Amino acid sequence: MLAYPFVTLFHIFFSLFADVVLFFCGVLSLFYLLVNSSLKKKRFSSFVDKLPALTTLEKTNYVGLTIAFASLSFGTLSGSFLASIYWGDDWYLDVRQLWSMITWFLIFSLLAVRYSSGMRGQSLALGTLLALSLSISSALFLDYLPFTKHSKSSSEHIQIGKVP
Amino acid sequence: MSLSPLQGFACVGLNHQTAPMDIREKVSFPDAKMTKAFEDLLGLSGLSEAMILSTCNRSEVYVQLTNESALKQIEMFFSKHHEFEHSIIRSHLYAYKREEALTQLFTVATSLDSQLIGEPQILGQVKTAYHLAKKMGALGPKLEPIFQNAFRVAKKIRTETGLGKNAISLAFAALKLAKKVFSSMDGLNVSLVGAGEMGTLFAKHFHTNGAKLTILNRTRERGLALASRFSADYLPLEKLQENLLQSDLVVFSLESPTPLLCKANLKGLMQKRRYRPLFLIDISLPRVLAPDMPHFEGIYRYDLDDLAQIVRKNMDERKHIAERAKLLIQNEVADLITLEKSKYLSPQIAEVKNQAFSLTNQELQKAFGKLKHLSVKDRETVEDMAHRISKKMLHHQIQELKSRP
Repeated sequence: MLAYPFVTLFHIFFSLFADVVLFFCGVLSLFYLLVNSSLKKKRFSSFVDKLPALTTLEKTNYVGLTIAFASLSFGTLSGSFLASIYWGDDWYLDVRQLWSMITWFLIFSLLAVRYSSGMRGQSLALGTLLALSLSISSALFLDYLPFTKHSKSSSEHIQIGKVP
Repeated sequence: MSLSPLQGFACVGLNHQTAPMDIREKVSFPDAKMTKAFEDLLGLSGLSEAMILSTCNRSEVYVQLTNESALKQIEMFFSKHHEFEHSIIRSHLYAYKREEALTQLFTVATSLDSQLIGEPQILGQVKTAYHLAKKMGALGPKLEPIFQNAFRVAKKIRTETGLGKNAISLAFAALKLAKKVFSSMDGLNVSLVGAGEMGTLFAKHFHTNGAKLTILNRTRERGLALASRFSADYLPLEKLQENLLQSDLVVFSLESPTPLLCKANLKGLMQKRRYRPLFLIDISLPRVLAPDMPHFEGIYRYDLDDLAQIVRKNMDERKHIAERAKLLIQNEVADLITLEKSKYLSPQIAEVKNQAFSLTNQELQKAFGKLKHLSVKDRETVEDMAHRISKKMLHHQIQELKSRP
């Protein structure tokens, strides 16, 4: 039986949802960079012709990033709560935990700068791609590091249903 | 035997490739004289249906002949109706029959025969001519399906090949580029700096697409006159720097011995604009945007050469597409001819087959009367053999009939 089944499901759902939306934003950012580069170089391929306008790509990316941020916030909060339950006082000293915080903070910074100064375009697209790469590396590689508590080989790896 | 729709289909006319402008002007069919033109044309013997297509590039008559000798009369109609020396006009006229006429109609409707390949107006002009001919009672059951096919083919080819998709005018190229940055022109702040003729043409394109215009000009009167034409705001040229904060797109079209904007003007501008993209189009000669201006993020800058290069590329692309479209037209024409042949030959072939069948049966009955010793199985074998021989003999003749033009 799960110790905190609702919180666990909540954590899984929002973390996954944030990753999916972030992936979508990453694709939009790539398209943005492609259209932007074509407009600057004044050379257009038939693929670029089919892509939406820069402002459409940028606005959709902004909305997506806001949704990903909200979702990641819920995922990280619930994850932190679970980590504190399972791992005790030093729950925040885990690499994966810190990595998520960095991703969260990066997206927060992107949105804050976009909101305050209006910064957009290439910088926002590159920032989004960086956030996506952090998120992907967290999901794909961090679990294999021996010193993370999420590690598949670690004895401290969370076993759902077992509270230490 | 009467001519089938395609057998009797013909086209006589002249166009921008066969006749100079002064001849085309004299041989056109203005709307006011169309009734008389149809009366004269349908008054000729040897034709049953007609349609007149008259645009600035062509004057063509599409007819359904009942007698092929009527083609000469139609050529004469061009000179008589326009009271023009036949010897002069004759060398500019072309006449096509059957497949060639069909190919000509499809090529015209698809805009492959236009001066500007792929221009969209011609299909509308052919449709208008078709409706007028219908109103005049000049169209009948033979020409009508041919024109319906022309409209279908033109639409199909334009959609399938993307003919006419790319911009082939500088103003349209600029509009398409702007749409690649801003997606829509609706409510976009467009500034026109200078009231030059070309700039005005650009402004017209942007205005038609919903952009909000501001005119900046040295001469107040001229600027105000242009502003009132497009329901735009007017600002003196000195306000350019200030105006750059609000504008999304700026078209420069004025003469200036020194550049109007340089690196110093744009530095810090994007921050004040909250990094909203800015599209600058410089169609002035000499250019008013300093050539050594560095690339700023969010600023897109195009000059006359850049736009011309895009137009040239699109023109080349259209030529390639046109080659493909011509092949598609050939296929469509071949399909229609095959379809018509089978439609018109089917009753004749069926009749020949029936005759052959009944003749064979008659001869078989005569033979069976003499060969009474044959068993039922033997009779069936002989019957099969006789019908097979009859079919094989007919096969060659039917194929020959089908291959006739």
